[in-house]
Amino acid sequence: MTAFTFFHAADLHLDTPFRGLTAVADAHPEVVRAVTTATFDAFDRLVADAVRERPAFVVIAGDVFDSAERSVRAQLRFRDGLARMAAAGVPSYVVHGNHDPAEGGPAVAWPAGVHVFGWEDAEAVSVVRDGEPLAVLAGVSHRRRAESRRLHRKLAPPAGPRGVLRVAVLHCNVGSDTGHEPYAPCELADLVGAGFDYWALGHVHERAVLHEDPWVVYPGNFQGRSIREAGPRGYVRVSVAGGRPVSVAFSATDAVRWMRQAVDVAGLPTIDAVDRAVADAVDRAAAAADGRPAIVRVELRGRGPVAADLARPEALADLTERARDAGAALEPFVWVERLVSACRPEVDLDARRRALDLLGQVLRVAQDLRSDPDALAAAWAELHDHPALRRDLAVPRREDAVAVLAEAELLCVELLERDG
Amino acid sequence: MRIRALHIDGFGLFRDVTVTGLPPGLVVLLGDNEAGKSTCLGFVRAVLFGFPDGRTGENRYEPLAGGRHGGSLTVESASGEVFVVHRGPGPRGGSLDVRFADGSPAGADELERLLGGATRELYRTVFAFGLDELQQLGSLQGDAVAGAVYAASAGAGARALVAAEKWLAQATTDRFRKGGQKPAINRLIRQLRDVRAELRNARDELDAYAGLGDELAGIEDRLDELRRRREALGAALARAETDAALWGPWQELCRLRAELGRVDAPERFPDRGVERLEVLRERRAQLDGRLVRLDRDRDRANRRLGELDGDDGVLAQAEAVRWLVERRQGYLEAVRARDEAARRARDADRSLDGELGRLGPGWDEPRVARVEGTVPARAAVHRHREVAAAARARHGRAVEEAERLASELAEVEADRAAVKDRTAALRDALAEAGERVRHLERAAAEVRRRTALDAERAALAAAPDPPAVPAWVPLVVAAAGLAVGGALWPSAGPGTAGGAAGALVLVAVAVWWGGRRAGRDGSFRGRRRAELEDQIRVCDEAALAALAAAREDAAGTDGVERLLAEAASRLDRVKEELVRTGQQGDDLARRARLLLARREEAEAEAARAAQALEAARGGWHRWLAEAGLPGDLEPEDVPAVLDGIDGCRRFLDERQRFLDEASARDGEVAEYRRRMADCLRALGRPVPAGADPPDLVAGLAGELERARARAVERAGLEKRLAELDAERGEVTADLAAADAELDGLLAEAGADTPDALLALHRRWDDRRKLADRVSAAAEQVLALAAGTDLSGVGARLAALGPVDADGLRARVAALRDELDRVDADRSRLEQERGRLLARREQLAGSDGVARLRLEEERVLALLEEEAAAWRRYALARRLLVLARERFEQDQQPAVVRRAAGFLRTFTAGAYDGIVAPLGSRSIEVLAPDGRRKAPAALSRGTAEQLYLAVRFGYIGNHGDRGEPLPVVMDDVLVNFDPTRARNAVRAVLELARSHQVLFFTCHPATVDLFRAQEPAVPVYAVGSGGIRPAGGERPGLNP
Repeated sequence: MTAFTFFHAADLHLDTPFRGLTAVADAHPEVVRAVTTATFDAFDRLVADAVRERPAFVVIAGDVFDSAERSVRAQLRFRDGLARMAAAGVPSYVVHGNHDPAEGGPAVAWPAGVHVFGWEDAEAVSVVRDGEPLAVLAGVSHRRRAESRRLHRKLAPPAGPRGVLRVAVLHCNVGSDTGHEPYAPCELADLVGAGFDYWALGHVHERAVLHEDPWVVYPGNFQGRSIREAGPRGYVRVSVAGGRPVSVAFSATDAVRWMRQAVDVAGLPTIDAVDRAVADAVDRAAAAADGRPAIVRVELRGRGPVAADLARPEALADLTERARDAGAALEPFVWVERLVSACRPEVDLDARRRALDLLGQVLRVAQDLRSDPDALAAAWAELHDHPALRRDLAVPRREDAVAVLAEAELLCVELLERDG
Repeated sequence: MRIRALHIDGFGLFRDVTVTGLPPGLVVLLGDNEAGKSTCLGFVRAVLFGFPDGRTGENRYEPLAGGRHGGSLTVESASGEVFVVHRGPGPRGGSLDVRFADGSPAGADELERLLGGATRELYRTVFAFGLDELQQLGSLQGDAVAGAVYAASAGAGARALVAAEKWLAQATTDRFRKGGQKPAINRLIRQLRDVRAELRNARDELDAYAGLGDELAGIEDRLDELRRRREALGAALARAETDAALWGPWQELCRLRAELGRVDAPERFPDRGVERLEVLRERRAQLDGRLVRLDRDRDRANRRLGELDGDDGVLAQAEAVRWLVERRQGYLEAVRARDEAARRARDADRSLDGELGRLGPGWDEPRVARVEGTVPARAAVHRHREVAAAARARHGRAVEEAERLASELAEVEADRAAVKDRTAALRDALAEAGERVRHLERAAAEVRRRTALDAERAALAAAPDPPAVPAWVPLVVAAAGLAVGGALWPSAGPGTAGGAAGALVLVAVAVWWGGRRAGRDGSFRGRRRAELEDQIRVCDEAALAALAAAREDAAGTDGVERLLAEAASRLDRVKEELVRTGQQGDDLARRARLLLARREEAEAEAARAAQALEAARGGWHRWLAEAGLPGDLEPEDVPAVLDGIDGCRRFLDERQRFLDEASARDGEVAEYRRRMADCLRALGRPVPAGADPPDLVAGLAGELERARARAVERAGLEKRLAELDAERGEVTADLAAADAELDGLLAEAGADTPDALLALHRRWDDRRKLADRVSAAAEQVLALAAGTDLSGVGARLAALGPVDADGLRARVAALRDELDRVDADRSRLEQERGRLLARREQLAGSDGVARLRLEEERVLALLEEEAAAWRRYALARRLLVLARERFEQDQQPAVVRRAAGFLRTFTAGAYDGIVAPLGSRSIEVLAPDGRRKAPAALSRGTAEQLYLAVRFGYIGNHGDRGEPLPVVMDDVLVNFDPTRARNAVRAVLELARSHQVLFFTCHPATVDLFRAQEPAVPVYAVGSGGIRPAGGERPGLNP
């Protein structure tokens, strides 16, 4: 049997915006350009790799674009990319996911050499190269956005000659705690026992190899779009020998890399020193981005004398602006998404909490609130109950709320000790 | 502390009022309006804390009934100490006097201690107050009270609390306010709405993309239909156009075909017969022409050959002639060089003769040849010259040395003579100096004796001296004489000087003598003095004589010692010089001996040098003889002779060299002439004598060149003749062939002659042209018919029925119009399609939505950021509120706690507690249901009860920490309802257990209230300018 390679990608989300960028504006056109074209640039990298390396085929497991965005250019760019691969002799196999369900599907026609699996029943197609059958692919698409069917049950390995790779292509949620919507739900055991050699999955944005032999793989998304999607993003190359996958290797495509950088403020005596440390963090981000632009969240941590200064919102704003200017001037640029402070002052809060004075009372009240999420929610009800914000402003999760509480506590310390 | 007694000197309407025995605890003082209750209150305040400042406007209670303003209080501390505090008006609260009970002064500090740091203001508002103070919250907001009531134990945080709450309120409302416009989140909500509206618009536009597809498909369908319609019309038009086009040519074809059928002419004719005939005729004419030209060329060539005869013998000598020509320049050069060498040989010969002549007679070539090389001779001459010069120099040096030594010796001898003279002079000077010293020594001895005599005479000087010539006169004269002598000595000589000095000395002696005679008539002392005078005179004379001998007459006796020293010194110097001169003479003698010896040595050396010089000259003459040179030559002359010999030799060599050269060149010339003669002889020509060989050679060369040219041309002509013969043969053969071909052509055409052939051709050609026109017409028809053969065309046109050309053209025009209309429709639709495609392209490539989505996300991110900040601030605010509530409930100051107890008592539990909100100078009451009420929300009575409770709380608290101060209240219960008044009385009684309470009232009912609860309560009546304990059930105004 011929050894070969195929590419497995998912969750391209072409032409969808980056989240959490508060200050990207016309002052930095190169940043705007990079973030608005990043998903396209990432897809172009996959296409370029495929045209250059001629894998046996490319599998794209759903969420190519967001139907809600109605981006024609995304559909056209996708179509053109598939056409370029097809012209280079690389066929592609695509399923629809929850973001680009089959109903209300694309306005463009797929080029020859592209197979898009339908939603009603599973289809099976063979990949034949030079007269030799290499693989059999089975796949099924999401019909609509909230796909509740257990689609994996529709997929059964088709009968075929021995030694031919059997691939299942599916956009689904394996398990229950993935942090993603539970569309097309299934359990790992269902997939492992289904008789396929390789489950080419999509939906979960973090790259994960859930099982080997048979392989159950999420390649992760193509391009990080928020700080929650930090780190390299791309697709996987699956090497096949004797009709079975032998290795799965990651290949980065992200055109702009999201990352976090921590700065420990311990031992930093002044805001000036923090400023320098933040500049260093920006430089580190630039070095770690493998030559591509980067968007970085800088997190100030630790205990230090500057914590009280950093509790002032304007101090963080000034530092952020300076770091942004420095990063935007780099080539390629490093955009500081946000500068957040989780530093603690050098005061002993527990000792303060025991004091009988007003500050001690404040800290004791805060301590009580830690275990009273309802009281926290009540403090914020005015904002979250606002009709215009109900949809856009999520009530903080418990751990986030506790973090806010810690910040509020520090703020109280700062305010009550301001002239005391 | 309690007040035991008071004495008012003058205060308001009171004058000289004394109250004693005031008990501890409660004392009720009852008086009518204007009886002086407030005055009493003011008196206690004034004595304890000072008179109010006149500028405040507060009542100072000036004495209305007379008496000194002020008075005293007798107070007792909790520990039993008794003080009398007296105060009168004055600056800074008035004049204070504090004394112990025994009248001894105690000082203001004792009062300060008793008052426990309470200020006048605190006392006025909290301890000694009337209804006016009670009704004002402001009276409880002074620093001292507020510090105790509102901020105690809240710690540092409480002070910043209000600012913190204010800051947080601002921070939260800056970010979000329900129904607000400006706060950041409210603004972001609007921005979000705007950007989403834009997004909806943009997306609606994108939805048009699918609609555009449908529209495009419709246009494509219509275009397809038009395309088909156009194709049909095109086909019809093409057919009609073909028919129209075919009509004319077809008619012409039919006419030509008929005409061809009528023509009479041969159908066949030799292919290109006429052309071939013309070609043959032309060929033949050309061949004839060529034959004529060939014959003419042959004649010309033969004629030229005949002209080319001549003597070509010179060709056999071509090599020899070439050699002569090549060497001709060399021959001329050799002749010139030979002649030049001979001339220079002669020049050298002449020069040699001249050189020999310069050497002098007796010099000829053989003698010159005999002189061996001049180089060794020159070396020998140089050697001899050096030897001679050295010998001469040595002799010169020796002679010069001898002369120098002789001169030096002469100088030394002269010096020796001078030394000798000097020695003699010194010896004379020595003798003279010795003599002088002896004379001066003698004079010195006399002078010393005279000095002794002078001393004795001085002893006798008691008696007045008779007038006499003073002794110093002669001495002066004598000294002058000596001085003149001394002065004249060096210039005028000893004679003159001595004469002058002597004369003066004689004068002196005469004077002295006159003086002596005058003194001879003295007494004994006078005698003795006379004796002394004599002796002195003798001494002086002797001294002067000695001085004269020393030729120091003028010096006088005073300078004798000095002169002696000088003379001795001079004697020593002369002696020393004499010794030195003697040594000098010895040195010179030694030197003279030495010089003499050296002069002799130099003279011997001069003699030896003269001998060496002579030897050198002998050597020179011997060498001249050996060298074959004249013996009278000096070394200086020899180089010139040698130069002459060298010149002769050079000219000899030169002459020989030129003679050799001339001889060699002469050989070359002879060889050239020999070979030229050989050549001429070979050609059988005479060898001319005296002819210039180069000219002969030039003639031979020209001859050779011409002979060669003739040979070449002859060969060329012979070759050309052969070629012409060959060509002539060819032309003759070609002529025969052309004739044969012409005969063949005529036979083929069936003509006898070329003219007949041409006539036949004309008839055949006319027929052929007609047939060609038929073919052309048919081809035109076939071309237009596009694939249909002629019969088909005929059938097609026949099928059109009765029609003419105009009818056909009209049909074509109609079809064309129709086609144009279709094209116009197509163009319009294609434009529309292009527009739609461009629009779709634009939609496809637009990143407007992407940018709006980015903007939406940006606004959302900002919203989240602002919300996070708001949450933080809101939560912090909440923390402060909750902490404050708890603090205010759980950690109230003791004052407030106590006050709350009193309030509960006053209101019988209607109000449960008092809250002093942190960070503010206000108080609130707490209803049992937990609601808080600000004082403004309370009834007047309840508010007064609240304030009274706070005062009681404070008073109690103050008392716990120090001396309890007496409390003075002026009718504070008037607004209390009976129940609460009772409750208040209970509270007052409770307070009176720890404090002295002076309770003023104008209401007997109030007294009853107290008595109802405490029957033994002491009551005092205030009125009629006095204060007295009241008796009976109801206190009366006048006890």
